[in-house]
Amino acid sequence: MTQLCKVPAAGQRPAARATAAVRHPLKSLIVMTIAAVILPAFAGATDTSPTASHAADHTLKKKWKQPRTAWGDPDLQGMWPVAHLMTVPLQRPEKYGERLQFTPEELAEQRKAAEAQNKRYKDEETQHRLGMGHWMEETDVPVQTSLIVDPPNGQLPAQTAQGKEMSAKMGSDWNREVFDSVADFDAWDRCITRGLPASMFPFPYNNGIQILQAPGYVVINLEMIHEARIVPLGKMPALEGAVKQWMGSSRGHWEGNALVVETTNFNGQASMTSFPTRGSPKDPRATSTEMKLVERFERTDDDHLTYTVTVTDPVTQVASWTARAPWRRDDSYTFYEYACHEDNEAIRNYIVTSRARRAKEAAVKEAAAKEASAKEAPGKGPAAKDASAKDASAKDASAKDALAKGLATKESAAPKPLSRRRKMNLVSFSRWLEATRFSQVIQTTSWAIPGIQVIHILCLATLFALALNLSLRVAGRGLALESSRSLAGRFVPAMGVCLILLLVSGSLLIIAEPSRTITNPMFYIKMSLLVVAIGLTLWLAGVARREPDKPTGLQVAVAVLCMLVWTGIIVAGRYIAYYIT
Amino acid sequence: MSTTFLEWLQGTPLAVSVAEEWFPLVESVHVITMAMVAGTIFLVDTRLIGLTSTRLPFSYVSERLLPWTWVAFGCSVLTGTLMFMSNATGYYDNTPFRVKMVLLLLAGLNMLYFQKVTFRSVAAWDAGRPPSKARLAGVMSIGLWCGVIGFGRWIGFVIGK
Repeated sequence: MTQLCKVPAAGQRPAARATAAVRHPLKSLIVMTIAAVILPAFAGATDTSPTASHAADHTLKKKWKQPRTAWGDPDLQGMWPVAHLMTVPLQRPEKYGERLQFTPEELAEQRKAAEAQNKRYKDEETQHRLGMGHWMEETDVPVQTSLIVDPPNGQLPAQTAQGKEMSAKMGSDWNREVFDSVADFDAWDRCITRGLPASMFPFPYNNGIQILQAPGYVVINLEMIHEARIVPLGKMPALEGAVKQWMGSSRGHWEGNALVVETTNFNGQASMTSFPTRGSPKDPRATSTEMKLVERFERTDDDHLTYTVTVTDPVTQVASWTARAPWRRDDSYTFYEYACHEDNEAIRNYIVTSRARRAKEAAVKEAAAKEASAKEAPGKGPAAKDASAKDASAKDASAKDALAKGLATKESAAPKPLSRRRKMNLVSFSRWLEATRFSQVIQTTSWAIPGIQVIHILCLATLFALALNLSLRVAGRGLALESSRSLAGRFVPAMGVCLILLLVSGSLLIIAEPSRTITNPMFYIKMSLLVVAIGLTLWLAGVARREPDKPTGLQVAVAVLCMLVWTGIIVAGRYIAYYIT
Repeated sequence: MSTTFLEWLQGTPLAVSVAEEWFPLVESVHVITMAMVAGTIFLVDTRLIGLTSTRLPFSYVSERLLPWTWVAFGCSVLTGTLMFMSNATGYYDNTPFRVKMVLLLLAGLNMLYFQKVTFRSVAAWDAGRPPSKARLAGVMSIGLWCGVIGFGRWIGFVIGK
């Protein structure tokens, strides 16, 4: 660990290389690759966490001895969660220039900011209010200004023209709002993988990384997506070039006490970075099948390990880059169960929502265009608008790959002008109603809606039983001791009272929650059935008043039908709650 | 009740399929049968109080209507059980649900007392105005059933998953 004295030198060297990179990309690539092997030798030298450098000091004095497994390999086993690195951005904020560490003043400021953030979470909890949600606790603020240590400015190198083009075609739910197919989501959205090297960097959650060893193998177990990177050691030949995998194919060997893992055979479909890792670009960054990772895992003492990764991808980026971070052992950490878009509904829901949104926007645009053309001279504004809309959708379509073909059915979203416009009017009416003072009063009185619903249900029960008895009586059953005329005379007015109470309570419920009913097809089915039920009931009442001796087949049939329609009203009424508009 | 039993219950394939797929339909049947139970009970109770159907003997009204009540009640219990299974721990922790069950029990006891004690003397008042004890049973029955429905509806507003 005598390299410790070379700290400033390590800071200088990459600067020289970066200049070379601009002048001669190919040469720089070779230099980079060599550097990727040499640079890890400085591991610990630029180790930036105060605890880690302290540990390194400690090591220097006490000669910490690397423990070994029963079969003689350096023992790296344990739980190495990277949650403590959450505040370290992948790319360095520009203001720190080429500085790898905060000044004591900056560090104090960062810690203050982290404390303020933790306090905001705490306040949310004590006030029983969910705002940001307690996603991450910034308990640590390491002195490191970025994970990227090379290039020395801490920024990802520029992308090649091809890389830019490939990146532009990638979607993710972080950088877009409209989705037409599975291809509009990145691999992590789809619960496949966070890819490499992104999987090795801190994230707002599921930061667990566990290292397990067996003779000839190392397993790097990841909490996120529960991926296990199985790394064969020694002379096992590389996987055949034609075999491509999301996480590539890894081979490891020991360099002294350090585990060096080289990974190739990537399928080139995952993003190189992941936006939620602090300091990552918002847009996905393409990887190619030529990407190569060299990772180095080296323990510095019982509780610390320096992780270094160099990412080379000549197809997508003009130079390689290296990130380094001190990992900290925490064997009390346990992996959470990993679950991702349960029931496989999320992707479909995104796409369905986008279609609905597009249809709605098209309807609004169309209405505006009609309005404009009614006012203005013909052939002016709307035509231009249409053209630009077409242009946009054509661009959109060209961005899809083969995967898109099965799912993207934009035609289904094409608006049907008339019914759409009616719906728009209903939507605006429902919004207006919802905003009225009367509606607001009902909405904000906590017991009002449940209370009105209970009255509605009690009236419904009574009306239902009365209708049942009228129907039974017409069919010659039920309370047959009483003349059907007398029974109708008692029951029909009572049903009228129930119906009025139902209409009043129902109207109040509509006023309170118009968006639940007014745009809901179930509501209209219920109302249509109600008209039918009233008609049938009145017809039965008419029959009952005439006091026929024996019911005819038609009368019995209508009596049965009448009860079925009342039953249908109840079912439709209940389904209003389940039919989301 | 032990939560392990409740957890086992809501994990059974039947409970899961209700929770995931059949709940709206089961609930609709529950509402229909509930309407039938409560509606017919209200008609019998108002006769018992002496408000309606006074030209018909009480025993005739109850004889003609209560079979509908019992069949519907059976279906209600069945659908209610299915709904309970779908989220057993949620219902068990739910105060309105507990109150509803207590009220249901009280309604049952009220009915039992009426059947076993008050109803014995039915011959004396069958065609006319029932005695105050019988009328009280009618009022209590209406009140308790309104409570059952009210708290039943309330479950839906506060139940947790």
